[in-house]
Parts: sequence; C-alpha cells; structure tokens
Amino acid sequence: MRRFAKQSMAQFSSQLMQSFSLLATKQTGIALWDDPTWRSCLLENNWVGASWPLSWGGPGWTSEQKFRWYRACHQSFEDYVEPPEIRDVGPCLQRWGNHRGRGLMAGITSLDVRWSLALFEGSFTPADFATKLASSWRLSGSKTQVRFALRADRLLVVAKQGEKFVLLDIASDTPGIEIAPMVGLAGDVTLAQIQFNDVLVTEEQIAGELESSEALRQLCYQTVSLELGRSGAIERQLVAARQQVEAGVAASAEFSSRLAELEIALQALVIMEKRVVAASATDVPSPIPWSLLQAQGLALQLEVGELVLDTFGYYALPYPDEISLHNEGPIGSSSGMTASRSMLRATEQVNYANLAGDLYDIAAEELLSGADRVGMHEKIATE
Amino acid sequence: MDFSFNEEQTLLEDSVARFVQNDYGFEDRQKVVKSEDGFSTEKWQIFAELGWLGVHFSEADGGFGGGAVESMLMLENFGKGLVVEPYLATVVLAGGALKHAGTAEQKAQYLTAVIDGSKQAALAYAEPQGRFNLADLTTTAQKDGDNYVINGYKAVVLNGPAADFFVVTARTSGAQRDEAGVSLFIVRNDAKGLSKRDYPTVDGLRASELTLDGVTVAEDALVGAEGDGFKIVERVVDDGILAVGSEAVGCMEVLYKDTVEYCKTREQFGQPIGKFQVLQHRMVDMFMEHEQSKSLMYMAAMRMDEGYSPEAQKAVSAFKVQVGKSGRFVGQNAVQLHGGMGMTDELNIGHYFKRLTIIDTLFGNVDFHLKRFGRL
Repeated sequence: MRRFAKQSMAQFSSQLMQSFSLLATKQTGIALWDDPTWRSCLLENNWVGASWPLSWGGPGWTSEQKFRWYRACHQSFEDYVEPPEIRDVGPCLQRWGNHRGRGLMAGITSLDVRWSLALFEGSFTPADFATKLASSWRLSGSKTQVRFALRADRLLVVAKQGEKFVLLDIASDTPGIEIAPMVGLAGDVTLAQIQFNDVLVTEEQIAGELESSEALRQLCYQTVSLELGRSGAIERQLVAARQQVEAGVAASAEFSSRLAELEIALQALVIMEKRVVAASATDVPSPIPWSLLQAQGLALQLEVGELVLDTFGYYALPYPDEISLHNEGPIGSSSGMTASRSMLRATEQVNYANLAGDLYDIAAEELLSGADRVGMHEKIATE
Repeated sequence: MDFSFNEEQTLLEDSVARFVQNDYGFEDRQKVVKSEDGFSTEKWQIFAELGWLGVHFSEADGGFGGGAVESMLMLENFGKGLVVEPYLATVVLAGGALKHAGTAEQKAQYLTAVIDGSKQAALAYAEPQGRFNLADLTTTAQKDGDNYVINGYKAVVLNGPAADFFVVTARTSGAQRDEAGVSLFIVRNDAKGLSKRDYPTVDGLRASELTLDGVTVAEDALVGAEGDGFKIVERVVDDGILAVGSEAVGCMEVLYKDTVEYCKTREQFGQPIGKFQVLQHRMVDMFMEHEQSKSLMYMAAMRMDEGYSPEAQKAVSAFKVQVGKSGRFVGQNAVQLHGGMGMTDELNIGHYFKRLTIIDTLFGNVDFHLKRFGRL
C-alpha cells in the first residue's frame, strides 16, 4: 500500500504532471481531462475509471487505493481529473444500461467518444419530469445544468416514456437539439441547457431503463456525488494560504489563528474520510453518512477559499479572464487572481452537489431514521 | 488506515461500556456526587479488581501495559456515564508522573498502591497567576541538606480532598516562567506545613487549594532529575488532555443521541419537533461536531502511541481545540433543544454540558491550544 501511495504521489509530482497543472489553469478553454496528453496518461496507467471494479473495465482497486489516488489528484489539480463519460455516463450505463447500453462501454473506456449525461430538469420531482419520449418516437423537453454538454459527441438523455424512465443514446448534433451554454460564476462554461424539439429517435437508441423513481433518485445522487479524497483539494488551497501568511503578506495573529483552525478541521476531515474508507474495506457500516461528509468537505473548501481570498486583499479583485484576453501579465500576483476563481468554483460545486437534494436534509433523514448507514452514498463513494 | 481495535482492546472497551451501562445509572451517580467524598469507594475498588487502575502502567510496574488507545477507550466510556471516580487525577496525572519519571522505589511504594486501589493521588501543578502555562511557578523548593523545603500555593488540585499523596511542581532554579528549573516532588497528605481548602467543582468533582508552608521532603521525594520536571509535566498533561478529551467525546455522543431521541418524541403543533428542518440541521451539526472530535481523538491517540514527539503534541492540541469548540456547541444545543427540561438538575443533559464546559478549561482552552498548535 505504501509503495502504491509513493508511486502515485511520485508520478503526480513529476515534471509531466506539473505541466498539466499549469495547463489546467491556463485560459485555453481546455479542461485537464479533455487534454489529449492527459487522456493518454489515463489510458497508459490504467487510470480510466479509477473507482470502477474490474467488471466495469476499471483497475479494481481497493477502497484505500481509490482514496489515495483521488486524494493525490485533488492535491495536484483544481480541475476534475476524469472526463464526464467516466464520472457520469459509465456508471449510469453499468447500473441501468441494457445489453446495448453496456455495449457502449467500450467506447467510453477507450476515451474515444465524448459523452455528457442530460439528466436534471427545472423540477427534480420524478412526477414533474418533462422530457418525454412520445409513442411516435419523438423526444421533447429540456434539460438544465448538463455538465460539459458543449464538448460532447453524444448525449445520454434520461427521458420519461409512459410511466418509466429510459436512457437514450443520442448524437449531440441530431436535428432538433439546441445546446446553450450556461456561464458559471467563475466565468467558465461547464454547464449547458439543452432543448429537445421533436427529436426523432429509434428504439435501438434506448440504452437502458430506470425501473422506478427511486432509481432516478439514485442516479441523481450518483451524478452529483463527489468522490472521497476531497480533502486533497482543501489541502492544496491551505498550502497557498499558508504561503501567503508565512511570506508576511498577510502575517497577522488573526490569519494565523484562522489558518490553524482550518488546518485542524482539515485533519478531522481526512480522518473521517479514512474512517469511511476503512469501514467499507471491512464491510462494516460507515460511521458517517456520505452526504454529510460531502457537506462538511464543501463547507470547509468554502471557508479555506475565503481565507485565501482575504490573504490576497485587493489583489483578489482583478478578473483573470478579461486580463488574459488581452495577453497581459497578472495584476498583482497570479495566485491572487486564481484564488478568486477557486472560490467561485467552490461555490458552484456546492450548488451542484445540492442539486439532487440538500445534503443536510439527506443526512438528517439518514440520522433521524436511524437507518443503516450503508446507504447509496457510501456505495457510490466506495464501489 | 486501520481503525479497528485488537482483541484485548475490544474486551477492555466492552467491559467498561457494560459497567457504565449496567452499574452506573444517572440517579445513583447523583447520590454519589452529593455524598461527602464525591465518589464511590466501592466502585473504585471494583475498578481495581477489574484491573482498570493498572491499564495505564507497564507490566514491569505491575500494570497491563496499555497505551493511549486503551486510555482513550476507557475514558470515552467513562464520559458516557459521567463517571466521577478520580481516575484522571490518580492514574493519569499523578500516576502518570511516576510512570514517566519515578524511581523504582517510588513506583514500588506509590504506583503499586494506586494500581491496587489502596491509595489515591493528585497532581498539583496549577497556580493562580499561571493560567495554562505549566512553567509559570512561584512555588519554590529549596535544598536544605538532604531535604527540600517547599513553599507556595497550588490551585484547583483535582481530587485534592481524597488524595493520599500529591505530586507537586515547584521551582528549584530559574525565573518564574522558565521551563528549566521546574522540579516534581511527592508530598504526602499528612506532611507538616501542608494545608488544604477543599471544595466541589461545577461538574460535581472535588478539588483543593493547597498551601505549602515550609513543607519538608526528603531527597528521595524528587521525581525525575532536579530542574528537569517541565518535560514530565508537559507529557503528563498531554496524556491528561487525551483522557479528558476522550471523556468529552463520550459526553457528546450521549448528548447527541439523547437529543435525537427527545426530538423524535416531543410534539409541538401536532408533530414531533424532529420534523422541523431547522432542528434537523442543528442535530446534523451536533452529530458532525461529535464525529470531528472523535476523528481527532483517534489521531491523537495513534500519534501518542507512536511516541511522544512534536507531531503527537500537535495532534493533542488539535484534539483539544476541537473538543472545546464541539463540546460547547453540542452541549448548548442539547440544552436548547430539550427546552425547559434541558436546564433542570433532574435531567442528565445539563450535567453533561457542565462537564464539557469544565473540560474546555482543563489543561488549556481553545485559544491556548490553537496558539500551541500554530507554534508547534
């Protein structure tokens, strides 16, 4: 295990990874996971679907190995490290895909096809689901908050057909599909709205079926769930904050005290993550609901983001997009400019994580019902 | 990444948990608290018979060779039952000082008696002006031939009323706040020149103010090397932090669980108050505070068992910070969510809250340990 940890950390700290890190923060419009070199790296190292079991085409790692890998990724990169076809589409097809749907997995694991999962609508109540597949095989309706739809070759669309929900495999350039970008707080375009105007599909495009509204609920949770190891991202941000405080730019008793408090909270989060991982490895109930662990991690990420912003003072104000458009150097420090972006991205992540239901409400439901906490969140996180 | 306990640890935890659950009811505990001694000598003997008083000590010293994890498991369960017997003062603090620095003769004379339950002890380390600075001492010990003469004042000595002997810190050289020059001495409770003022504390325990007016002790009462006692006290206090912090984690678990149960049954506006979203979120926060503390408890215990180092000290301070913050949050919310009942003496909730409040102050509060954590 230690050898594995050393290996993965060594690889991330190599020159190659550092160049990816730079690439991820450049204003090229290319996310890390969309960069051809990184995709090759995932394939060559058998890191495609790092959390997947062998039967899905993943490496079949233990919970601890997965945890270490994701944590190392978060420590190194701000971006998602896995493309949406791996994060969202693959697990959906594996769980609810039919024979044809599972046949699509080959293209997903080879990273040959770029996918996006079109799931969320204005209302998340299954009964209100408005994207419908009519008996004439025409698809109508709209989707919102679709992650990375603008770069997708194909869409996996969740639609209502009669009383059931089906998964449709549709090319993104099919006539009748309109994809509109949703510009996020940080100026990124990671989300999109999609309109389906009587899009003609065939029966062969049905790639799977969600047998109940409960399955739909599970898919929603699965899609917004963050993997274990988020503490790595917080650690990365805290390093930046510590550098600022130690460099004397923001040296004060107040910052030192806030920094110490956040470092302690981070240590607690790391141990909590490890306890969940350890529990899953031994098949005992998870001590902490996954929903709550996510909520805690996200809240902490926001707090650290606030601290980092505060340490930069006025130099957190310049808007990096506008400045880089004119090919000018950073105003103040480049770190200050990226700090504000990180903070805004973290806010977006909190928003997205709550799409399938407020994480606190979910946690309260689990805690108050006294339910066995080996719930769907743990399964998603650790399987 | 292994958080499981070995067979011996599991047996120990089960044994303490069973005792607390079956033989340490809240009403009986309240009677004991109101008694003159403030604890049950019968129960103390049971602790000795079950071997619990020896868990903290090495096999060579007549104990069972337990470490920080064993201490954590015991104290967490003591916290669940608000156990008032002076385990912390006798075993962890005074016993701990002898364990780390006592001579073979001192161990034979005093530790053996602690382990078999025949003697109680206390660590007299705090002084009114020192707040949480362990080196800030005005109590002095001056060499006088083969003896030392101790003069000074010790504040809030836990278990002072019942202690058969004290381990006292005194300055043998250096300035008032120097770490060098601190020494430890064993002082028997019948020593000439020693006077006590005994009193109860907010959480139902007992403590004393000690005045040492020309107390003479022989050279063999010195614990550890002369002038080198600061490190011993610091180590013992860190053991104490792990112990009371673990106790606090046990207290928080009871408060959180009792509050959830109460909110499921207490009805307002025709439904259980646990249905109200704002209260649900508060309970989630209480749960989370408890889990954060528990996680840092594991980390602190594991670090201490790996060896006493700056990393271990840092982990202990992190744990103490978390326990201070979480204890206050969980305690206050448990009282508020229980409504008027939460304040009454009849209900256990307020008693847990009082214990948590005291634990925050013991051995340094949140601010103190936040600074120590940043410094280390």
